[in-house]
Amino acid sequence: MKAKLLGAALLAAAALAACGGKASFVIGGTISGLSNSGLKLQNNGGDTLDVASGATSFSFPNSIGYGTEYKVSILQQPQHMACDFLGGTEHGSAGHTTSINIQISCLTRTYTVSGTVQGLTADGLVLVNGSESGRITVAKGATSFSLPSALPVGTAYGITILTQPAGQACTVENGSGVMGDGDRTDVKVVCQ
Amino acid sequence: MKSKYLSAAAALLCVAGLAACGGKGNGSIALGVQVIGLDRAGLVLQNNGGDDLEINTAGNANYSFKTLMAQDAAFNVTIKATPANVTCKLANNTGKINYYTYLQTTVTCSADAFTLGGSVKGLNGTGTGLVLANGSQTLSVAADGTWQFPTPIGNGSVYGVTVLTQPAGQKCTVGGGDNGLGAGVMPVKPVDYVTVTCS
Repeated sequence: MKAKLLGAALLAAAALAACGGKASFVIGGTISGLSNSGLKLQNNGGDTLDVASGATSFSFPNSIGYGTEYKVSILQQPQHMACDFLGGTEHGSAGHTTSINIQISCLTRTYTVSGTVQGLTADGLVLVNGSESGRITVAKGATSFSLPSALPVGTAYGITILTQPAGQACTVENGSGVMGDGDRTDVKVVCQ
Repeated sequence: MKSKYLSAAAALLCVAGLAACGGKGNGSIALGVQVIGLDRAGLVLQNNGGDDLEINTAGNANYSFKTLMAQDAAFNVTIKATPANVTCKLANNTGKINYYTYLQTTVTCSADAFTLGGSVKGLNGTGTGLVLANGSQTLSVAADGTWQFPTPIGNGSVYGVTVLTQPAGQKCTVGGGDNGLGAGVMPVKPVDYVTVTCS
């Protein structure tokens, strides 16, 4: 069995050499969603590569020979983003496929928005974040609230009152802003 | 070889089973529909002009017509009734039913959308930096007068206008809208009565 495989490999190698088949392989691939600078890739703990914002493909300057192992890792994430490799495409052996196609997908990081609630003694308070987050119901006695889903960096938010609690009037402080690199916890809802 | 006979026998059993329960339409395949974006009750679909399928649950889901169809029978899904103030569109709604086509029909619905806007007064001059937001939608307002967010909002959705950036040296507050605080539930008409007052 082993001998058979070895023979086949030798034949394949011979065939490749005979027809001038690729002896060197570019370590590269495609990137989706990269909209910030700062992404730095590394191969086998050595060669590094800076990938510019907006890039949809990349390739390391040094090629590798048939059968050479490659393993690309992310040395530095781009600003405000998290990139990852798709399905184990970041490592392999050159020549296993006709060309090396490493796939990277990047997403803007998301963070939560939450705040404190003071003096809420009745039911009925409903907050909204524009038309995005639906109705955020805050029950009697609650001392905090949060938006149901995290928001991407760079996204604006604005929290207002849709419905006042029965017999009370609430106001919102620090209710609007633009998401940065961190959770927002400074929204204040004060009820009287 | 054995399995071939077995599967043939199973098929026969299936047919017998169906015949036994007297399925109208002499068939074995349920015609399905993918419903997308429905946010309220009241959608009624038909197949070949009958077999009403009433959908009263909001959300994205697949549904099946009651009457089973025979392999290769023609189907034609149509909309009998649309919920109020919603627009629904059919796609891939005709064909002959088989394993590949039984769930090819889609109905995509969206609440009719209207613009959100209002007026601003009290700004000192123009271009002082006022930016309004409805959640993630933002709008720079340069001067006193009327304003309107570029993207319309579906009726039934909530809205809430806030000041994202105050103009230089001034403070603006938001009022009006459907709840008097610059927020509300989008009605079946444009909102042009959110008020921004700056001093």
